[in-house]
Amino acid sequence: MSREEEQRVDTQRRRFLGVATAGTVAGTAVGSGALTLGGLAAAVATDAASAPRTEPVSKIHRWGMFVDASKCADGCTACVDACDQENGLNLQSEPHGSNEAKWQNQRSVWIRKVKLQDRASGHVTNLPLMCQHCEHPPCVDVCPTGASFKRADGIVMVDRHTCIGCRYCMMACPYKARSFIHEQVDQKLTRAPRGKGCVESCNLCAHRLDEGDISTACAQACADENHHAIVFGDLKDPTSPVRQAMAKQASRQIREDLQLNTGVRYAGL
Amino acid sequence: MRDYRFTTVPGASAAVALTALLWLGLAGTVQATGIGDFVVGSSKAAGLENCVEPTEYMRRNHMEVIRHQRDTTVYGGIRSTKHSLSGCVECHVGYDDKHQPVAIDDDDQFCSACHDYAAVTLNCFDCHATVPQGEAWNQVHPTMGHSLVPGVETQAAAATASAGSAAAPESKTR
Ligand code: SF4
Ligand code: SF4
Repeated sequence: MSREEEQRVDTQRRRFLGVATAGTVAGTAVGSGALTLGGLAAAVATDAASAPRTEPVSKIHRWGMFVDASKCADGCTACVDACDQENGLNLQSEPHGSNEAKWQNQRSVWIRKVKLQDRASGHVTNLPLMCQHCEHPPCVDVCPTGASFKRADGIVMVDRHTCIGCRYCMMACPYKARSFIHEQVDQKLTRAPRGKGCVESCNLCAHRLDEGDISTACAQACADENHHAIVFGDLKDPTSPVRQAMAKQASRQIREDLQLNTGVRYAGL
Repeated sequence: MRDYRFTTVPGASAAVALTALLWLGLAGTVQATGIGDFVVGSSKAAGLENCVEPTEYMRRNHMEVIRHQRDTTVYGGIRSTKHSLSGCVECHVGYDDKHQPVAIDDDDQFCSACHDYAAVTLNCFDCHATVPQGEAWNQVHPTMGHSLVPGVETQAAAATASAGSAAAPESKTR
């Protein structure tokens, strides 16, 4: 009920913004802002200049991904491995005395390879599942400290400085996207701080974006493997690769019944 | 700054003056050996004239500066400024004989040496990398970024001015 109410308000706000600034994109919705398309494209052009950002992120962009599950290869873990490397997840070490199965279940993971099989036909679908960067993120709703937040450009992440490790957000997330760091981590990358007692999840390689590099490790790795199952880009820019891909092919949200308006969309499901 | 309590009590008795003098002397010694120079010889910082802001300013305000940048980075995505923690680490990390970086929070390294002396616990490195690790955007020239903390320049200038007049003998400060 409150969700409906929120959406109603939201729609109006978007319509207002649509008039005031630029074409609005609610996820997949094909931009209604043909009128202001030029303006948006110009803004994107200046903003995308490959340099570290000096202005705070803004809602000119909404970052997201398009995943074509039909291209996602069985047995391939390129995206997961690349993510591990990029975000220092491979530097986690198994705590002394823990058993292997428990550790595999507990270690922080940002992307999971999910395999679905249709019982009737036996058809197998593979897909990478990560934080869906919901427009209405339940993880943010439940966070008691405000640590779980949505950046202006749509990236949902955790401010570890204020996270108290209550793990409410892990329970609230419908996609099992979040991980908890149980132990002190010895090795960490400068770009990916990590410490005991905080929750974390995919941040769409925010450090790359902030540097002016519009890419994610997973999409890049997938393309390098010649699978091209993951496309990353700006959902608000009709000329971006992600929007181009979405324009060509029907896509859907996982658990669209929850009306979270996810930033990651899937085709071939 | 520290000395003013003593120097502005002209009407004190001889005994007090003597104590004050003693204290002054002590403070001087402590300053020379204790606070003198925690910059690790093998670090990049050792070869630089100044920190990202004047030394006097950084000594008293580095935590404010870092915290300000922290929120700017987490919420605003701005990482390229000169007040980032990774910039501190990049510049102040020491190197061993084999040219391998030594964790900046190890005993006697830049952060710990001073924090131990001041008995202030620091927990930045529970999460943050203690040596530069993996490429990062603002590690090449941390001093070249621009400042985001309002008023930092004026405050820093004031700190330098007062340091120049009050603590002139304290020349090797960094
Ligand atoms: S997928 Fe989960 S962690 Fe990501 S924004 Fe949605 S609720 Fe939050
Ligand atoms: S674990 Fe951290 S981010 Fe998650 S709800 Fe609790 S305080 Fe918020």
